[in-house]
Amino acid sequence: MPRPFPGVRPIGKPFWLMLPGVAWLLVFGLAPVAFMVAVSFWRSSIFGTTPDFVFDSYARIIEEPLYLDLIVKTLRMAALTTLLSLLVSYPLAWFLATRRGAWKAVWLVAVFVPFWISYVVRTFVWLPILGRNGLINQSLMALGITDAPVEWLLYNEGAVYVGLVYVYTLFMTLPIYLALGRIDPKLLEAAADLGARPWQTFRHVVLPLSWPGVLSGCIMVFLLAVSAYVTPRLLGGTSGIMLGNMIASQFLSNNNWAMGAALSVTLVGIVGALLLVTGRWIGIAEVFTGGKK
Amino acid sequence: MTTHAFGRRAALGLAGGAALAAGIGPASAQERRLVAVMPGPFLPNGARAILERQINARIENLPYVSPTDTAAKLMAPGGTSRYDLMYSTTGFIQAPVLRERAGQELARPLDLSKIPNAAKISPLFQSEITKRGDNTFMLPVVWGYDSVVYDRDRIPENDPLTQSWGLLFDDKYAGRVALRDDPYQSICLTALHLGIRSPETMSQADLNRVTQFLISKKRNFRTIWGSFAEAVNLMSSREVDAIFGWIPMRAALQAQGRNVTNNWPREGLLVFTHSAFIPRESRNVELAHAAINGALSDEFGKQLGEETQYPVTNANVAASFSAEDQARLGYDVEKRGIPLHRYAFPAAMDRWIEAWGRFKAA
Repeated sequence: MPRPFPGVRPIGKPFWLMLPGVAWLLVFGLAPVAFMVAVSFWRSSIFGTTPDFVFDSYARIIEEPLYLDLIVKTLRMAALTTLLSLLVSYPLAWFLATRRGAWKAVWLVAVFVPFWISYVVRTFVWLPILGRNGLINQSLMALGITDAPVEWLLYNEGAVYVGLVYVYTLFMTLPIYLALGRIDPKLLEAAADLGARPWQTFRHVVLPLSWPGVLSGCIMVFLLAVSAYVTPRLLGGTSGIMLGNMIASQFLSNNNWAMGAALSVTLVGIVGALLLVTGRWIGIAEVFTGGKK
Repeated sequence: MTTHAFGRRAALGLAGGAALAAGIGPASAQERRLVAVMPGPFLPNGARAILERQINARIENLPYVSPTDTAAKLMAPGGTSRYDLMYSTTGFIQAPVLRERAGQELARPLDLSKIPNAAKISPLFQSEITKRGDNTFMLPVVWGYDSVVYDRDRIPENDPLTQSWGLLFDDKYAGRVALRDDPYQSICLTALHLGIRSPETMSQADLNRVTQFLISKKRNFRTIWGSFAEAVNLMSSREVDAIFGWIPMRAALQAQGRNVTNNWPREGLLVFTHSAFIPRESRNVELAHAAINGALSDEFGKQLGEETQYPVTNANVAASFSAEDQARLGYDVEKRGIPLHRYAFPAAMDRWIEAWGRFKAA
């Protein structure tokens, strides 16, 4: 086999070149997780956290039904957020992928610009939109559609979905857009030439080829939503609680690092198990291998 | 050569710029700096200027989150040498700072000869001075109260409910009130409303009763706020007409021209002091003593009251206000004949957090 770069000698298998990457993963990836797992077995009190090896925090998580309820609620909300994001993002990604020329750049920038703004601000902005005296209520009353402000637009679980879908749209849109962009247009023409209707083309050509992008987006949005903290707190009102809020309370209100860490480890374990189980039948490996077998 | 000359000039310029950026230079080397952790409202611009002038140093105030966060900062490796001065809620921070036994303290004993203004602390707050043996570790500097801040244009001041925590729970104002997203304060005020005298030591049965009551009233709360700005915004946008709120919220809303005031709940007013202390390995002990002395000065206390409406523990400052202003600022709480409930860390804070979680998940 001819050498791709004549005159350049291979230097063997330079594993040491991987050192920076491996070191990065160990220091910034594995070490914090390992520390969190260790702390989850420690003992916390108002006087601080001591490195004992006890199962107190996990025992409490098991015996107190609140934690199971919160885990179920968190998973349900993350799953629904993922589904809603997909429903919004797939048509948007298709729209972007099928634009041509300068307009394509304009639309892409239009999609990206909101994401240059802080996450908190993008969540906060819903308050003057959905609030009792917000933009929507003012408009509805000005148009004579309602006589009084509609109360249920804000401070409930529905408002949390609005906020979560809005802030995570890009993480779903981008991978789908990239996957759609890689589809050869000739395949679509061929399908049409062979008599496929638009739905059949979508079902048998476009969707399978964009599936790695869909999965990638779903995983990202699900993982982000499952650890949401700011959005439920700002938009959820009295019902704005997910496991992330409970974990934050353990650290910020109670100085109970052990319990906070144990709840985090529990969530990581459950999400990991879910990905493992569901991954078997939705082809999740393609996301991590870039589609290579 | 031209290129070399240019390169040298450029290099000198770059070095100068880098030195400036890094804060290296004769001026900054001599600048005195005090690293503090205290709630921002306790150091507004005018009061800060007075304190910085008094101690002849710049104060770098790092973000304050909560008493437990302050404790976590202190307990972290190197935590007792990273900050020069800290403030936190006395009833919450005493135990973590003193720790279980003498000699374990995370704060250093104060040299009261360097804090002559400590003599001005009102008799009302003498019990809030934190001591172990002959050593004094913390001095109360600022005090305050938390109650219901309500809009007098929307809720009549003569409604008896305005003088009770019941303003937050009564169906009459359902959907127009907001609690704070904080297990301690929300459960504490609810317990007081239900007649529990010592919420911090209440039994599990009482805590369950409080939780059930909160759940039964859940629909009455429009929302629960999490930050100062969020709470002020709820009132200024007329999203709600009453909130569980703090003194500076009342001040901020009044500054916006809103006709708000706070109530004096007959079941018990939540009161607190914030104490100053010097972490054990502070590198600016002299400066920190000077700053505590300055914070207890008449001039600083008066300015703080004017800017934020926060009262200070200095008895001279209270006396300097007119009777009308004393009532407006709350210096007359003792004369109002209502029980004063001082903040303290609950024995079973874990259960309180779970109870608050149950309320939100219900």
